[in-house]
Amino acid sequence: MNRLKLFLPLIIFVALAAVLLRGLDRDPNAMPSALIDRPMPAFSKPSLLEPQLVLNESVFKGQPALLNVWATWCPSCRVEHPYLLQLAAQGVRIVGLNYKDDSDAARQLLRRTGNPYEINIEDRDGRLGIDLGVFGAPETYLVDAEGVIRFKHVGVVNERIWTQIEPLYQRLLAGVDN
Amino acid sequence: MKTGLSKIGRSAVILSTLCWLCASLPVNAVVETEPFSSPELEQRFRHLTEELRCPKCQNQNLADSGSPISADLRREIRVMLEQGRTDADITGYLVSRYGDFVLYKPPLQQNTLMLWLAPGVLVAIAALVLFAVIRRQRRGLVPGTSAESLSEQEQQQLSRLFSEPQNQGAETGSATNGTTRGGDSVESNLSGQQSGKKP
Repeated sequence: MNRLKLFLPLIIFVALAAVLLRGLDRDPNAMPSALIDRPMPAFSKPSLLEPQLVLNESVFKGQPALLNVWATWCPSCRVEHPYLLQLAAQGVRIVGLNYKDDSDAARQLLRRTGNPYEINIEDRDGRLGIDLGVFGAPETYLVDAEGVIRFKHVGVVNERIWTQIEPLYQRLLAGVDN
Repeated sequence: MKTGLSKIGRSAVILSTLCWLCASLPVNAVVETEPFSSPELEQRFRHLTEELRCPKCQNQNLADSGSPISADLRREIRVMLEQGRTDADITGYLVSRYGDFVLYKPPLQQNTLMLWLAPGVLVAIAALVLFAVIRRQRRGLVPGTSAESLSEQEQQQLSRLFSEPQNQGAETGSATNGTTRGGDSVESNLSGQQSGKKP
């Protein structure tokens, strides 16, 4: 018993080290979305490229899609832009949310660098962003054919991230996971 | 580039720089230009923005954060307050969008149980340990902590040791000298006694 007491500090140290070591691997910025498995919030926003067109949450019905939050003021968005073009070319449906942006600059950018988005929602005041729990750009959501949010990624989408999302996307596409 | 700044001059520069930095701090705090319809609403606004955390920042509340999302959320809170919604309503609005992350005071639920209970448990453990230590000391179970554990001979030896250095200090007339010499003699005395006791 007394022998054991001698080792007590060591045991406590090892336990503490184990807990803290686990904490090192964690991303302090990781924030689970409160909207996972919840339907897309209702909205009524103009389309970026056809301003006379009013879009609502029904644009997400019928086919799973990526919802990509982007803006011209966001440098990381330009980093992921080529990869989004690549995904779009593979047939992935991408809906854009132009978040708190200058619409003219956004339209220009799409004309100049290519448009991976099937539809682009113009969210100038950022209200839809707040309803989605957006706190920066880029953010990407995976929305299923019923318009339910299934996954959220904060940051640049690249090949490594897509390999994480794709299995779920394929399942949603096949209609298995509904 | 030796400007010949004296030590005092340099510290004056540093001090004034610090003063300026401190003076400019309040400027960073976000100034809301629009007034509220009542001071009570403003009070609640201040309270809410201090209790709620900026989703973009790791450790800043909505009141202090200068990030665009915080400005938007402050605007939303302002609108909701003017609409007459309750504090719980507004907090719920933010939690349903950004999760518990936005709460500086997390709710008591399964995944926060540790967070809430750990301080109490730790204090309880510390109190138990302290209690046990005190009780053992009272009972004289810890060796060398109780006068009763010394035999009569040891007691006499102890009082002799205590009285000796003071006498020697008085002889030499110098207090510091006396204590060191006294210390020496205590050591030799003690080892002498112990070795004498062994066989």
